[in-house]
Amino acid sequence: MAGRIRTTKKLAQRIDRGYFRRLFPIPFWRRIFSLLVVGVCLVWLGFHAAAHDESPYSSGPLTVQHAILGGNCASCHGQGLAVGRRIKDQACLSCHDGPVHNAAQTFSPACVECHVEHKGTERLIAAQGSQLCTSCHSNLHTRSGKTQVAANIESFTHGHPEFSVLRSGAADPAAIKFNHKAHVGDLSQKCGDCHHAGGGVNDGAGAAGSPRGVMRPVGYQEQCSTCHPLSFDDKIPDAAPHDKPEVVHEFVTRKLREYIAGHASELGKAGTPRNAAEWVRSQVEVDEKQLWTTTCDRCHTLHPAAGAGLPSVPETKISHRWFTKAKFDHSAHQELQCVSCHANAASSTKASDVLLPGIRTCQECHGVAAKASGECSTCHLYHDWTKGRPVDGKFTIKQL
Amino acid sequence: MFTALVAFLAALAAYVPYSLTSRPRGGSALGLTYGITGYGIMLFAGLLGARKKVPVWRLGRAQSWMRGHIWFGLLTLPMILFHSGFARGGPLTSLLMLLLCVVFLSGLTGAAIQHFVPGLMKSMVPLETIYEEIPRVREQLRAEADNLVRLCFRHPEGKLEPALVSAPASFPRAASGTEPEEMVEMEAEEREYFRDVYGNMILPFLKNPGRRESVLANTEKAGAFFEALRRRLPASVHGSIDDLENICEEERQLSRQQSLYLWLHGWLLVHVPLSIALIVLGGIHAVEALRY
Repeated sequence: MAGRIRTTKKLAQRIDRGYFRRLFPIPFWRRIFSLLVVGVCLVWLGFHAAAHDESPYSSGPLTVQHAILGGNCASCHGQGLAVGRRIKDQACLSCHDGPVHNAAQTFSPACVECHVEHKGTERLIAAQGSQLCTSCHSNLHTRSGKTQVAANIESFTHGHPEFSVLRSGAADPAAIKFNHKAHVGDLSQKCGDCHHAGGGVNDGAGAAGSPRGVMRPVGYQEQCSTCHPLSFDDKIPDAAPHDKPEVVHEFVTRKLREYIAGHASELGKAGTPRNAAEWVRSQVEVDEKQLWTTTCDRCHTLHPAAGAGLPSVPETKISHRWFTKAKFDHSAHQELQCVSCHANAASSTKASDVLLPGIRTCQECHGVAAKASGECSTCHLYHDWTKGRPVDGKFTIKQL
Repeated sequence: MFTALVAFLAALAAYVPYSLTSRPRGGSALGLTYGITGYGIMLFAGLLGARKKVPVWRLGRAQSWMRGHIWFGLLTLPMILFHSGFARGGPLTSLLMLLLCVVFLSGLTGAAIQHFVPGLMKSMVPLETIYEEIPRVREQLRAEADNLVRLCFRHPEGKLEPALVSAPASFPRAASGTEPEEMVEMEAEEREYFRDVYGNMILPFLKNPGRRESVLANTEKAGAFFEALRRRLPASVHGSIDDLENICEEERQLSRQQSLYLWLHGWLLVHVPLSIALIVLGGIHAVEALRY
């Protein structure tokens, strides 16, 4: 018996010559899947279009502050073709105030240069790189031709001047006597016994752009009174109030008057006045002399009055904010020891010592790669919020 | 390839200073250029399918189209990443980026498969036939086997035994002309054994060649099986046994071809539908982006 012989003719006879006209499984399913995938996508877009929701076309999530505008692109982008068009400042200013950076600036960037949207819900929209700032501040020119700040700042570590309060060797203007060394060194008190953070990130002045995490002002009542009571007389258990001399005088007089009213037997004793009014007058004189010259003088330099009047206490002028053009957040630095930045605090004996750390201390972390941010916006605000104006709302709830 | 490489290097050279000096975004002049270029390449790559529909058109060689599809297709991912500034974007752009990545990866996978599998096919399936015709060829092989065996089981009066006839009536040609002139001589016991082996071993395999548990699905085991069959049966049927062994081998090769074909073309079930979706949604994205 002859074996199987495959001739071309025999092989050709096996094949249905019209086979390519039929649709076989893989091409068939390819078409089905194509229709299915495109169909599902179009249904998804159609569903949103029917609900007048344009959020699928968003280029990224809006910040929580702008989330309410998410489905209505035109509220910021306007209507019509946007080829080559950017969001106008007017769109932002219809809801927000944006005070000028500096009246003498030669260039004002558009809002969207710094306030970048569609980059995530949590991201701070104004936290952009320093390039935009240094594009002017690395070679600063003003309309007037004069500059009040450093003119060649390339970054926090290159060209940024020393903090202004340290630059001139200025003293702390506080009109008060205080010895840090006596408290921290000799009495082993901790910084936190007197200095407390505000208790929140935005506890500062309250206005937009206020410093964050500033220390609460040190006050007599809260921080000093326990150890330094304003006692004025052994006979009177109450301490004098920490107030103006007139109030102190009224308090001391009242307390002594009340005392002698209950201790009339002390009148007429050897060397003491015989009537209450005279006793009070002479005792007030003694006690107030003790107060003005010893107790109050421990911290304040009182100005004696001409004649027999009460002395005056000069304004203390304790600085609550040292950075007037920058913000600082103590709470962001709470893992550090206080003296790692305020190195001179433990040895300072005069209130006039400025214990603010210099820029080199900050530069140990900020501006150094992989450590802490050295961007301008970490410390500085662009807008001069002292020139801020209230905004009149233009929309109704339904319009938004 | 050279053109694609130059284009990539040029795009990269433009992107590096652009990203260092400004915030990359799709709407900037350079960002738009990247986007338009990337989408243009996608459209060009999509034209490969159209080109295949009209193979007789003089629109360049198919090989050139395929090379262009692959090398320029590789450019789409960097172009779109440069366009987006490596950002995912919103819902539609995220979907587009996902589609692009899947299309890109499936395309790379497909290119690798198309490079290696044809060589495997050539070595593993020398009897390759047109994939779509495999079921039809299999029916013919079964008819051929039936015909071979049927001729071994003639009654002395010359009538065929009906029990083993399995070939459908639609394939008479395969059987015609192959009938031997002389009748095969076998003892009744041998004929009974042959009938039993064909009916219980060979015929089930030919009817369902995908069954892996059959000894005939394995080349070595099948060789041993047919060798044993030849030892048991007289030389007069060895020719038919050789042919049956050959038919089984062809069946195994067709099974191998089916497996390789699935590898060779299965990835297109992902690549093509998602590519079409990418082009359609990319167009919608372009229109909407121009609106805003």
